[in-house]
Amino acid sequence: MSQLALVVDLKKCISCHACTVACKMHNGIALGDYLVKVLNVGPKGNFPNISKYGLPKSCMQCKKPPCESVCPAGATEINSQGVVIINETKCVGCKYCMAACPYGARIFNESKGIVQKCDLCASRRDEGLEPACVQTCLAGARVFGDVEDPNSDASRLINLRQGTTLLPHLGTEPSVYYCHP
Amino acid sequence: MSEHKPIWDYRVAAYLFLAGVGAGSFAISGIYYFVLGEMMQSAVEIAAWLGLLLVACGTFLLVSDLGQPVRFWRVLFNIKSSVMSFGAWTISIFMLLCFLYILWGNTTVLGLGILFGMATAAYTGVLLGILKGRPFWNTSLLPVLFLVSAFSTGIAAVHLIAVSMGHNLNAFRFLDAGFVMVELLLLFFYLVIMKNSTVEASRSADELIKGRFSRLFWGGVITVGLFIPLVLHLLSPRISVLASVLVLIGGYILRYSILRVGNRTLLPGESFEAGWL
Repeated sequence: MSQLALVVDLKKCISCHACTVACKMHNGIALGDYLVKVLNVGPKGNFPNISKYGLPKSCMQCKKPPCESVCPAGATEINSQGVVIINETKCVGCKYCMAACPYGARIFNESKGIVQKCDLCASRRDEGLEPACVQTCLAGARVFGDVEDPNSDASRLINLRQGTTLLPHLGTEPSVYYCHP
Repeated sequence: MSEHKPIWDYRVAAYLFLAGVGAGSFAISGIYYFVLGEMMQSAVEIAAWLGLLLVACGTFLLVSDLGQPVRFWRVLFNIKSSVMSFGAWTISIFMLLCFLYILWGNTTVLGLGILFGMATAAYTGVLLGILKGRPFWNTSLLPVLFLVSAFSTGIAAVHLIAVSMGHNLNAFRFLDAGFVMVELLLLFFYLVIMKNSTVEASRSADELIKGRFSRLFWGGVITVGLFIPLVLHLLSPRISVLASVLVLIGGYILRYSILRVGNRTLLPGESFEAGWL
């Protein structure tokens, strides 16, 4: 089994929001909606030990995705590459998955009447390209790859920097890792 | 922008409410029929119609909220893991049982109707209760609260129809007063537990107690929906019709305000927003 995902190096991210823009352009995301968003964390701590960093957030490609189990129509599935995808012909647009996702990663596409999410740019990957957010990241903070292949750049970065996941206590087993500054 | 817009609006709140009233009225009238006998016959007949029509109206509202309403039948096909799928079956079977009872008036059908009515009413709370990323909802108190509210609003609805048809159902006012008291107690415990739970659950509770939804909560749910009806019910049978109207209004506002304050667990860098995150 492979597990495609992102590893984000928070030491490199400069919160420029280029990933947000690239994602919106490539995926045609409506005004006010986002599949990738950069959160501003901090400033926190006491001088001189103060930290402030950007936290780019998108679908965590969970191994146990709540969005999948709650879907009444069975429209969300995990594909052979470990990517959580929506079957557009099955989605009824009930938005239960949006309520269930702890990361706020799903949006409602008003024009199509269905829910939309990050599929790590499946159409770009078919052409041998990286996801738009990864290619555009000028700081090189986003590493894309198979986090279950121990020899991938993504896995090496996780091991080297002891990458962590978001809200691990919820048991969703996210595949997107963050390497803290 | 749209992240702070509620994912579900008044239509879903109305569905939670109507499913509760319809299912609750048939279940509670059925229970009283088995306990008190023939004197409850007219109440059960009214409740069977209410169950069928109100739950159908609620389901219609829910379907109209779908992005793809014509695909609504697909929700029946993930029963092994989706609570919503399970609920869709429960509601369908409940409506069928109401219909069969209207046709035959069979007591076996009534017994099953009580079971599926209670399941339907509780399911509206389970729907929200299983979402572990939304701490204010993620509690088994929610299905219990919605079930009690369904019994109370169900009695109120049967009472109103019965009175308008000239039946004497004065006994109902004491039954409803009992449920209203239990509901006040449950709401109190719910908020106390949430205040002492996670940061997000506590903030959601604050939104009801002293935040953006406090007027709706104290005015609509507690005063109009529970406290005044309780006093009216106990005072006089003549004004208890008004009490039933208020109980129904309060039942809707309860669903709506709980639906609106269910924020998700905060990520680093996120702050609590009134409305939905």
